[in-house]
Amino acid sequence: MTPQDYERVSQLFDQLQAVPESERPAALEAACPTQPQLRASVLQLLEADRKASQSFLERPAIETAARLLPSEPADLPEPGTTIGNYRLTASIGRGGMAEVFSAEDLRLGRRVAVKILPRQRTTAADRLERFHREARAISSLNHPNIVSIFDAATDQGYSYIAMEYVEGRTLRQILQPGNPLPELDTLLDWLAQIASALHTAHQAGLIHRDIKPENIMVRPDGFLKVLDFGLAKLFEPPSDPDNPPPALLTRPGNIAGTIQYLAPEQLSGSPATPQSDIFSLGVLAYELATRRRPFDGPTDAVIYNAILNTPPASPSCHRPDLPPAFDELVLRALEKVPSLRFQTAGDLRSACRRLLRDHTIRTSSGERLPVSPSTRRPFARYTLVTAFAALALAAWIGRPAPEPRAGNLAPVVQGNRQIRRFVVDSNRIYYNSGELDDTSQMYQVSGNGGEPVLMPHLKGMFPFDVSRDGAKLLLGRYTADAVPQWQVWVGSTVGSPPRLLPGLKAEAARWSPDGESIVYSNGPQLGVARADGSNARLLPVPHGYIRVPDWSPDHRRIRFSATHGGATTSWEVGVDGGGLRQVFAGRAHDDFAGLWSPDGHHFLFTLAADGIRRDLWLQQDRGPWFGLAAPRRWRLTNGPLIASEPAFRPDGRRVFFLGAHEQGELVRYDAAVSLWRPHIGGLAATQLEYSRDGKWITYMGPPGHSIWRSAADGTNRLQLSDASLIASNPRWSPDGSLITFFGNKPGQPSRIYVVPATGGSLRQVSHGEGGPGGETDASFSPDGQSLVYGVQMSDQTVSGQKFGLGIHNLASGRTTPLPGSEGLWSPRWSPDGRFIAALGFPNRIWVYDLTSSTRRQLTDIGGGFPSWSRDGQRLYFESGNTTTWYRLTLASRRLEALSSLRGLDTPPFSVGWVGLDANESLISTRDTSAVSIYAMDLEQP
Amino acid sequence: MDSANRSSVQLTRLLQAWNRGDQDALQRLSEIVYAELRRLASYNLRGERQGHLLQPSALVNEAFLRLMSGAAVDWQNRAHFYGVAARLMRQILVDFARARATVKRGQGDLPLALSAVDLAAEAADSVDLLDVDAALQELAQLHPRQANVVELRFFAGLENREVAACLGISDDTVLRDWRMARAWLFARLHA
Repeated sequence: MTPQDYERVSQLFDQLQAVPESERPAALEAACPTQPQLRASVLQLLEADRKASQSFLERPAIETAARLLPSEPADLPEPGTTIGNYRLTASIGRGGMAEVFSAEDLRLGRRVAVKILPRQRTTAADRLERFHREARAISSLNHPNIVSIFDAATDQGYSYIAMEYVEGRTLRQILQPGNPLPELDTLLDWLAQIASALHTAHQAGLIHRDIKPENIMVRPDGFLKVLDFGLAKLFEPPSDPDNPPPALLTRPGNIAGTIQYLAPEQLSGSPATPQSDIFSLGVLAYELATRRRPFDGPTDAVIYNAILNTPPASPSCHRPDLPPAFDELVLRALEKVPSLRFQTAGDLRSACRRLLRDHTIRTSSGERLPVSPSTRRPFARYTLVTAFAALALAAWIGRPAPEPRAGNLAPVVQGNRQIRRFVVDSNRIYYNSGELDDTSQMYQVSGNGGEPVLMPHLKGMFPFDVSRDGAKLLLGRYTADAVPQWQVWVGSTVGSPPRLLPGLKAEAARWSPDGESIVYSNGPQLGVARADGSNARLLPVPHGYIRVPDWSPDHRRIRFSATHGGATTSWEVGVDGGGLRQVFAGRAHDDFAGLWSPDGHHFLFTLAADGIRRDLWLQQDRGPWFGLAAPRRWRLTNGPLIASEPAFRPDGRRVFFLGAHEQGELVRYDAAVSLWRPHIGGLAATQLEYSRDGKWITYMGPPGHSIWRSAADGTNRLQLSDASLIASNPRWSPDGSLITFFGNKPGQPSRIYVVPATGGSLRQVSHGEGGPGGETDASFSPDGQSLVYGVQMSDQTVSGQKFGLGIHNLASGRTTPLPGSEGLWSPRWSPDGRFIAALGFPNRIWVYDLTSSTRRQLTDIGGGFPSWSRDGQRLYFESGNTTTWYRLTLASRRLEALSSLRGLDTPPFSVGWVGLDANESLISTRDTSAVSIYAMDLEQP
Repeated sequence: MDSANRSSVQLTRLLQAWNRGDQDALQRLSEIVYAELRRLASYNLRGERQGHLLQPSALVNEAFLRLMSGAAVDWQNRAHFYGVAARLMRQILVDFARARATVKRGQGDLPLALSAVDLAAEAADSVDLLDVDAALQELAQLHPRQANVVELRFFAGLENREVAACLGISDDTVLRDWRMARAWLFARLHA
């Protein structure tokens, strides 16, 4: 056939479409009587057309190609199989690339859910490693609304994750037509629960990536459980760092219709962020409120476009009884630009809770707080029966000891580091917010949260205690005169001006239970005085800095903390000065003596279990068996908050504390406008160093204090150390192949580690050369053969422990002390190899000249950790009290102040650090910590 | 500039160069888009195993969005892109079918990008994309425009309206071309 023939056949084929089938031969005959072959072709094509309209040609070619693959995965185990310790009972669903089974845990006899990856997906070693690493990260999440992960392992070629079996329905089932939509207060409670789960995960550096109704279950008791946390990523195909796969194609459950929950940035291929989860939750909120999706359409392409470009209608357009505040909340979560959404899931949760509170107040006569059902369970009480005493005693010993119940943990006053101290009475919280000077303000707020009310008559005062009747406040006022000190005042909660208790100086003070005496601490001193400040006398104390004194309920004893040499211990002394004894053993980290419960049976304190975060603990005042056995203790909170300043409500049934989420964002100093601006997208990083070629960075960041490496633009992130190590100060080797840092496990001295910049196992290179304090602050020599490091500093002022610098030869593994370096710490090798910059004591910048083995002090002013310029000509450092940054030119000894740090608060973990970007601009970390007053219901055993 | 931006600027430049008749640009453009689409196809095919399938038009859109990273692109460039994308989709799927056939015969290596796909089990239906490809080559000799329509519709999965925009012809013409080409291909394959 020629093209001309074909064209002719096409025309006839086209014309005959309109002709009834029976008349077509005749019509053809008429059209081309001399060409029987052409006629045959056309008739054949018309016949083919009928069949072709139903054929594979009507479906995209990729479906045909895909059909070449097996349609049923054969690589999953059958029910009845035992994988690991789990006997699979039935398949209960398929999520993404994996199958979920209900199973029996053969060791513990409990019912679990086991998610299994088909065999052929788990052949690549790097994927398996990643699968397990990420499963571990997820399993570290401990949150009541996140499904717990028990186990992740590989058995018989199957990689699996064993997790909590959750009874209940998914939100997708609840959204089925015919089911009623949740009431607004239920909905808000649900959203707050999900947001709370997301917040905890985000804090730990995990993003869900796939929030949708299928992934959230509602238990019959009203608890929500978020499933598949971060698993979205686990089931992705292996990543290619140079060409990340597009979100749309690698997301599991890639079925048409599920892109509705994806954030615009996920659709356009950017990495998912916490804000992406917030967007997805916004879509979910919209759907749960209105049964409609904010972005919908017949095809993926239409939905695509809507998510990227179309502002959604307000939810109240579909359901007019929704309040405007709910519209605002949802639309804010659905902002196209991530930075315009809620900044954290915690903010979204708070917004839900506030709205819930307002809504509940409006719709019911009394204030009603959402109470998790679990905390409503009647608390078991035990009675010792005296009849059949021996038998009863045996039974009593054998029965499980009662446990305290804590629940309903929630912030009641949200803020930042400006919240400094607070006290509570039966109904209210009094707190102080502002700078540590006369300009700070006092506020009062309901013990259940709400709008804080300014107490203008108490400006500049810090609350120490509140009287039992709630009428009077014991206050402190900081005076920064010639000698900074704290005065003690007594004020009224209702408005009359406070009066000074003359002669009393104290940083903390509390009224005795009868209100007639005051116990106070001031530096190394502990004293008691009459309530008017008279008759002050000191009590015997151990050496150290005395904090948080508290009365026993019978007002015969005082407990307090003493910090000495980096360790805090808890002590007790009689009001008469007798019976001084240590209550808790001291530890390297911050133990806080805490408070007696109002009934005196328990004791509340904080403990830094992992050396970073601090949890709240409850301990028996006396052990069981009439004090013969050791007192029992229970952990009431379990990270990631840093808890401090605990307080009981007078009835002992509610506990308050200051909870900090410590975090920071990377900033760069823009000298042209004298402003600190977010750097690398405000990366959560500190102690950042660029590689020599400027293409890579290494830094310390969450979770915990982990070491990370990434490309200079923040992509290609790789976590080099996990949160079990408290790691600091990563430094590049000159060739960019290795990174050294130091770190310690909680309660142990720090060690120097080296790790390949491409990841892999850590090599510990120091082994106690620094003595009991450990080794710190390693940096490479310019030839990459050696490290210089110092011994730890924590105790230098008290014990006179020796510290200095050591040179470690990486090939031989031997460390040699650097002669004449005694008293120097935190060394940094200069890029030309000639000098080592270090800190002396007190914090002054020194350089050690390796060619002459001599040292000299460069500055008379205090300084933080020094950083070398790339050419080794200049040193940068901050003043040591975060007020000014300096540049010191070595050749000329010229010292320039570069920037005032006013307006830049650095988080505690970043104090003293200054970095330089590839253009020698200053970089630092801005404090973005959230500090709130949290409340928690407590039933003591 | 991040890598996504770089690749979108590069792609735009190549499209413009190709528009001016630079055949080298087409070659380089093909390499970029081919690599991208090949990867997408391999992901997509793996997704299909679980019964989830994305529309290929979304696939091309996705590639497009990713490659252009939201940079402003005029329609002409977009049309060129679809043209290239369709040809490359065809190449990818045919390569895949060829690899599949090779495995069936128990010889040869899989292309790297597809090697992760499990090819062990038997295919349920064996419509051969290799045959479609061969027939389409014949059609291109007889009626190039109809072959283009098939490429855009069948291989890239575009809607008629989109095909019309790409080729600068009316919707009706697309409809007629498609119907004729479909019948001809079907007859050719079942001859």
